[in-house]
Amino acid sequence: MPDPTPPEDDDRSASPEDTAADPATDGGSDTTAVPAGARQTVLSDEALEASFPDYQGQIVESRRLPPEPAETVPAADVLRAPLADELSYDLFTHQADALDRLDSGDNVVTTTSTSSGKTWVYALQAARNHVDDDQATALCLYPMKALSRDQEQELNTKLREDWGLDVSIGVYDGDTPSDRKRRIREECNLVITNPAGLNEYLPRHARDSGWVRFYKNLELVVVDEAHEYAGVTGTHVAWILRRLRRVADHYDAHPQFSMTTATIGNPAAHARRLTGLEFSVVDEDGSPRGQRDVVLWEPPVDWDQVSGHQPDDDRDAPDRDRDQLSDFEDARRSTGSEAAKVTAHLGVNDIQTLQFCSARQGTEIATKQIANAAGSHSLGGGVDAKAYHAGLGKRTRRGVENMLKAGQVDAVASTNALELGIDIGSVDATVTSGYPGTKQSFWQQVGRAGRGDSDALSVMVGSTDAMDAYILDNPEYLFSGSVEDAVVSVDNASVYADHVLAAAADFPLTDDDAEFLGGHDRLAGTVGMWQDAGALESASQLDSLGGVVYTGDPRPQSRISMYGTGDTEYVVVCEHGEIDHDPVAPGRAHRDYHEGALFLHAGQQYEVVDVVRDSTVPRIHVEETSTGLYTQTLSQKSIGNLQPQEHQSLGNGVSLYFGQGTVDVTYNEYIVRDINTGELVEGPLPTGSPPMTLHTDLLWVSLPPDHVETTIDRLDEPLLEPTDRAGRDPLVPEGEKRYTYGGGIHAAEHGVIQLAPLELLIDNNDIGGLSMPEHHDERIPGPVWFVHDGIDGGIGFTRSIYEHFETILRRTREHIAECDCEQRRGCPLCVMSEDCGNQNDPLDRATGRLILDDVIAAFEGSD
Amino acid sequence: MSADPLPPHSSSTVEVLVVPGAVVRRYDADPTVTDAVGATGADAVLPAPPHANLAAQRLLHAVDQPVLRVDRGMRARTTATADGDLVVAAAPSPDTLPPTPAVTGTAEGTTPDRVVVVTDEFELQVVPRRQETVLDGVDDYLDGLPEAWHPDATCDGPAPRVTHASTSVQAGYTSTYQPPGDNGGTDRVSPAGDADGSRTHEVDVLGLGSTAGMGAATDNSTSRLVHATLYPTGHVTTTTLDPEDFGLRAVEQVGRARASSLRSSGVTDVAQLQEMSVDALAAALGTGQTTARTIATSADALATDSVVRTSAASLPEDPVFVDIETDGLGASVAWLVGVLNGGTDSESYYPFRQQSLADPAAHLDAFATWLQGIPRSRPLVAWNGYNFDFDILTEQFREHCPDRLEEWESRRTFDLLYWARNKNNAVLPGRSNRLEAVAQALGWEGHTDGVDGATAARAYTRWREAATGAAPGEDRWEPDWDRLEAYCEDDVRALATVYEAIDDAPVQSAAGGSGVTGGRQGSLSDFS
Ligand SMILES: [Zn+2]
Ligand SMILES: [Zn+2]
Repeated sequence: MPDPTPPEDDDRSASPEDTAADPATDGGSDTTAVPAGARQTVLSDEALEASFPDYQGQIVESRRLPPEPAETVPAADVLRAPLADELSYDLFTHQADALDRLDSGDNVVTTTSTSSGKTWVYALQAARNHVDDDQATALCLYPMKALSRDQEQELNTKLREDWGLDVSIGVYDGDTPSDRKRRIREECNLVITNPAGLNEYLPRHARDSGWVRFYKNLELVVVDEAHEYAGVTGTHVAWILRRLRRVADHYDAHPQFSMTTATIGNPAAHARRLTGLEFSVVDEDGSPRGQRDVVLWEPPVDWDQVSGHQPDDDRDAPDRDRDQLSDFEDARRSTGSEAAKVTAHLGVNDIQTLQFCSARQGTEIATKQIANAAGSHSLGGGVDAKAYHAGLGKRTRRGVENMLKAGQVDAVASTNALELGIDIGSVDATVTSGYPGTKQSFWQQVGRAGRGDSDALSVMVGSTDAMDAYILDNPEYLFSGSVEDAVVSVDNASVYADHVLAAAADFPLTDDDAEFLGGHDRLAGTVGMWQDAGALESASQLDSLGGVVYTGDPRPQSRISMYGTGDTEYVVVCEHGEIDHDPVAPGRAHRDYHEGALFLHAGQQYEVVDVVRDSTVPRIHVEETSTGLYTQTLSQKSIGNLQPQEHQSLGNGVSLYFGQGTVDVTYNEYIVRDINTGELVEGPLPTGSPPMTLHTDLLWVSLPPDHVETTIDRLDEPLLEPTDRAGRDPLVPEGEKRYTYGGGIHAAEHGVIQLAPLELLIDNNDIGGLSMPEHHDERIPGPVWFVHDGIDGGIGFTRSIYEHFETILRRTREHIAECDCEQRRGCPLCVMSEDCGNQNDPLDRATGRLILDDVIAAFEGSD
Repeated sequence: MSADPLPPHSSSTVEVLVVPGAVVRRYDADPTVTDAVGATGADAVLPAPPHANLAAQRLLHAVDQPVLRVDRGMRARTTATADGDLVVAAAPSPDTLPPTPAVTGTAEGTTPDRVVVVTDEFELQVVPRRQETVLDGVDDYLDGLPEAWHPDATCDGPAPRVTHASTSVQAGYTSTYQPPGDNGGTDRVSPAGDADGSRTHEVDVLGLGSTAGMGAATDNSTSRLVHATLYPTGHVTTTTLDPEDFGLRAVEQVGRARASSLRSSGVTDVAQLQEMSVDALAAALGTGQTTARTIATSADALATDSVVRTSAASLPEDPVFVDIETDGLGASVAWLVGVLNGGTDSESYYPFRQQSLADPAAHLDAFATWLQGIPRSRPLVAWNGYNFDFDILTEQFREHCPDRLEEWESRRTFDLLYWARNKNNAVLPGRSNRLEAVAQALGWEGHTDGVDGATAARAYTRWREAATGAAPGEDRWEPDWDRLEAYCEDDVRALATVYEAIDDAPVQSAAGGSGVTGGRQGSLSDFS
C-alpha cells in the first residue's frame, strides 16, 4: 500500500515562507531609542523624580515605535458584488491578501498584530462560502470557552446584522444546553467550539443526522490563536485536527483551513504540524497603529543585602544552611510591588492601565498593592483597581471587561487571560510584571494598549530570573530579530496511541487513514499493539472490508487529557476552601506537590496535607496557609539506555547528540526554609514521592576525556572549596578540581535551560538537565551534560533546543559573562535555578565560561 | 482455544463476581457485594486489585460463596462446575497448586476439561514507544509453576487445558501467549483465536480484574464489579456492574449519606426499607415527604420486582419492537434488524439480516418494505433507541438505502427506557438500565445463554473478515446465524416483557408529580 503521507520530519526544516516572515509587524526593527527627556511626559525623569516614591533611575531602556498608517484595498477588489456591497469599509491589505489566497484554494495562516482584524478574514470567507452555497458550514475553534462567546457575538454582528446574511451561528461546548445542542447540530452553518470539545464530539457523527449534514458541507475550519497550541496540548490538538480531517473526508468534504496566530517565527511550519497540511502565510500587516513607547524598568537590587556577597573572594564554600536564592528575592525589591507602583503612578496620572501579573503574584494581591501605592504616591489620590483571572465567575469577568471598555476603572490587574482576544476595547497603557517568558506573549500584552491609531505606552518591570536579566541587559533582543518558534511535535507515542483509539471510535480504521494518522507503518504498528491489548478488534485488519473496530471501554476520547501524555494526572483538592488548579502530571506532582510541600497559587500560599496515590484518580489535598516558610525539593537523577538518533561531531573531541533514553528521578527529600532569611528551618525530610522513570527525548554534549584537566589548567581563578554536601551527595563531585569543574558544567547546563525560551516557545518547567564529570555509558568518554524533556515520551522541546543549540549557547555564554552579580557561584539572574534538585551546588561561572567557550569554538571549527 | 467467538450452547459454567478492593472501600461488602452476588448467581467471589487484600478480608465475613483470594494463603482455593468439567483454582503462590492439573478434579478419577488458575502475578501493559503489548511478569510466573503445570509438560492420560488468569489484567481480555524459548519469542501476545492451534506450548491467558497502563482504552475512573462467566471451552463473557445498583444505594435518591443514616437506624437492605412507611422514612432521613415517597416507591419496585408507574402518562398502543445488532459500539453497520410484531406471545419475529458482504442494503430494504405493511400509527419501540438503534438505522438508511430514508424518518419511534427513566414515568426493578437486567427482574428468561452484544459483534466482524479474503465460491467461516438471530429475538421479547409490565402496572396516585431525578440518570445523558 503506497504511503501518501510526507514524513513528519519534513516539518522540521523551516520553510521559505517562515524565513521570510517579518516579525517587525509587532516589535519592529524600526524602533528608535528615546532619550529620557523625550519620553511620554508621565514617565519623564522630571515627572518620576518629582512624584515617583524613591525613584532611582529604574528605567534602563525606552523605545519608540513610530505610527503606521493603514494600508487598504477597496472591498470590491477582493469580494464579489453582493457581499462587497454590504461592506462600508475598505479592507486592510493583509485581510485582502488572505482572502485572495483562500479564494485560490490555499490554506492560510495569518500572523499579524493583536488588533489587526484577523477575524475579518475568516468571517468574510465564511460569508463568501455562504453566498455561494447556503448549506455550507464552517467550524471555528478557539482555545478558551470565554473567547467562544465573544466571537459568537462578533460573528453574529458581522455576518447577520452588518452583511445581512441568513447564517445561523452557535457555540457548542460544555455550557450549551442539550436541546440547544440538538438545534445547532441540525441547523447551524457556523459552529464554534474548542479543541477539547471537538475531541469529545467527533465520534457522534455516526449517529446524528445533524452532524452528518454539518460535516458533509464543511468548507472552512478556523483555528484561532493557534500559537496557544504548543507543547503537550499542541500535540493533542494536532491529532484532533487530523481526526477532524479524517471525519470530513469520510463525508467527501475537504475543508480549507484559515488559521490565525500571534507573531511567531515559524507560522507555516507550525500550521503544517498542527494540521498536516500546507499553508501560505500572510504576515504583512496593513492595519494602522499609533505611536507606541515601550519602557524597560529594572527594580533596584541592593547587593549589600545579599549575605556573603563578596564579589572578589567567593571561592569559599558558602553557608549552605542559607538559601542564596531567597537573599536575592529580598535584595531586589519585589517585582510585583514595583510593578504595582508603576501602575499606580500611571493611574494617578489618569492613564488607564492593564497590569499583567505573574502567576505567583496573584491578581488580588496586585490590586491591593496598586491601591496602597496610589495612596502613598506623592500626587496622592485614589486608583480604582480591579482583579481579573480565569478563576472568577463569568459575571464578574464580564463586569470587569465592561468597566474597562467604558473607562470606569483606572487599573486592572490580570493574569495572561486577557492576553487573548477577549474584547475589552483599548487601554492607555500596559504594565508587565515580570517578563512573560516569550516575546510573542510580551508583544501580545503590549498590543492591548492603544487600539487603532491612538498612542500607547507599555512598561515591562523585570523580575529575578535569568531571562529577565538577559533582556534588561540586552534590550535589542526584544526589538529586533525574529520572534520565537512555536514548538509542537507529533512524535509522542502515548498521545498518538490514544488518538488512534479515539479515531477508531470515531469510525473503524482502514489503510486509507494512514494519510491522516501518521503514515502506514506507524498506524499499522500501533493498531497491532491495541489489537494485542484487546482494545481494537483483532479479527479484522486495516485492509479488511469494514476496517478495524474499537472494542475497549466506551468513549476512549473522554479519557484523553489535553495536558498530559496518558499518565494518570493528579487532581488538586482544597480542604475547607476552593482552588482552581489544573490537573498535575505525575512528574510535577512528585516534585512540587509532595506531602508537606508549600506552594503559591494565584497569590495564596497552600500546604499539601495529603497525597492519595493508590486511588483511581490520584488526589493532592491542600490547605490554605500562611507560614512565612517555603520548601525546596531535592532530587536524585540518573540517565541511561541512551539511543542516539542524531550526532554532530564538532571537533576538538566535542560532540552533540540527540536521541532517546531513560531518566530515573526520585524527588526523595525536601527542606523547609524561612522566606525572609532563607535560613534552614527543617529538613531534609522525606517526600514520600515514589521513584519515576521517563522514557523521553534527550540531547547531550559530550566533552573530551581530559577536559577536566585542560579546563582547570586554563582557569585563572582559584579552585572552589567544596561544600560539606559534596561528601554526602553522590551527585556532587569530590575534590577541589572536580568540584570546580562540576560547578562549571552545571552552570552551563542551567544557563542553556534557562535561556532556551529566548528562542523557542517552550515552558522550561517541562525541561530537565543533568551534568557530570563522567558517565557510566561507555560511548561517553568524558564530561557530559544533558538536557531532556520532562514529559514521558517527549514533546519536542529538547528536539528544538538541539536544532537551535549554537544560538542558545552563545546567548548563555554572553549572559554568564555579564551578570552584575560578579559572584563565582552565580545568582538567580544568571545560573541559579529554582528548580535545581541539587541546591544549586556546585555552580561556577568562571569554569562554566571556559566550557561554553570550548563548545562554541568546536561549533565554529565544524562550520 | 476455539476460533468460534460464540461459547457452546447450554454448557455448564462457573459464575465469578470480581470485586476490586476499591469497591469495598467505597461501598460495603454487605449489602452491596452480597446483593450483587445474589443478583448474578455468582458461584464464587474473586478479590481483585487495587487493595485485593482488603476485599478478601471483608468478603470472607460477608458472603457464603468461596472467596478466591490470591493475595495470601497456604493452599489453592477452588470452585468447579457441577459436572466437574471446569475447575477454577486460585493460587496464592505456585507451590499451593495441586501436583498436576489432572488431579484438580472434583470427584475421584475424573479429569476436568479445563483448569483456570487465578493469580495476580502478571499484568497487561501497552508500550506505545515500542508499539507492543506485553504481559509483564508472565515469564517469571510461568517459570515458577510446578513442573506438571508448565506449558510444555507432558503427561500420560487425559490432561486438562490450563488457562492462566490474572486479577491484574482487565476482565474479558483473552489471548494466547507464546513463551520465549520456543522460537526465541518475546513476551508479546497475540489475541485469542489468532493461533492456528498446531503449536503445543501456547498458554491461554485471561483477565479477571482491572488494569492500569492501557491508556485511553480502559476506564479506571470508577470502581466497578465484573460478572464473569467461565466456560470449560475457554470462552468467557463479562458484564460490568455498577456497585451503586446494589444494596441500599440501588434505591433512587439514596446516596452515601442516606445509606449510612439508614444503616444507623437499623435498615440494612431494600426489603427492610420497603417495609417502612413514608412518614418513618422522612423522619429517619430528615427529608421532606416528596423525597421519602420517591425512596419508598423505588424500594417497592426493587423489593417486589415490579414496575411502579409514577405518572398518568400512558404508553402508545400496538407497539412493534425493534432491536439491532452492530459491529461494536462505534456501529458502522446494523447487520441484523430484529422486529417483533405484537406482544410477548406473538409468533411474528422477523430477523432482517445482511446476507452477503457485497450487499449491505438488501436487508434494510426488506425491513423497509416490511414496514410498509405496518400502519404508521403503530410506534417502533426500542430500548435506549434514541441513543443507539434509531440513530444508527437512520445513518444506515442514509448511507445504503437513501431512497427509503424519508419513509424511515417518517416512522413514529419510541424509546421505552427514555420514557420510563428520563421522563420519570415509571420506576423499574432490576439492578441497572440494561434491558436484560430489568426484564429478568420481571420474570423474563433468555434462551441463548452466552451471547451478548459484544460477542455478536465479534462474530459478525470475524465473518466479514473471513468473507473479505475468500475467493468466490470458496468455503468460508460462518457463525451460527440461527443462534445470533435467536439472541436478537430474546432481546425484542425481553423488551416486550418490560413494555407489558409497565402497561399493566397500576398508576401510583400517591406518588404525585415529583420527578425522580437520581444521579444515575446522568448515565443516559447526551454526551455529544
Ligand atoms: Zn548572576
Ligand atoms: Zn541543577
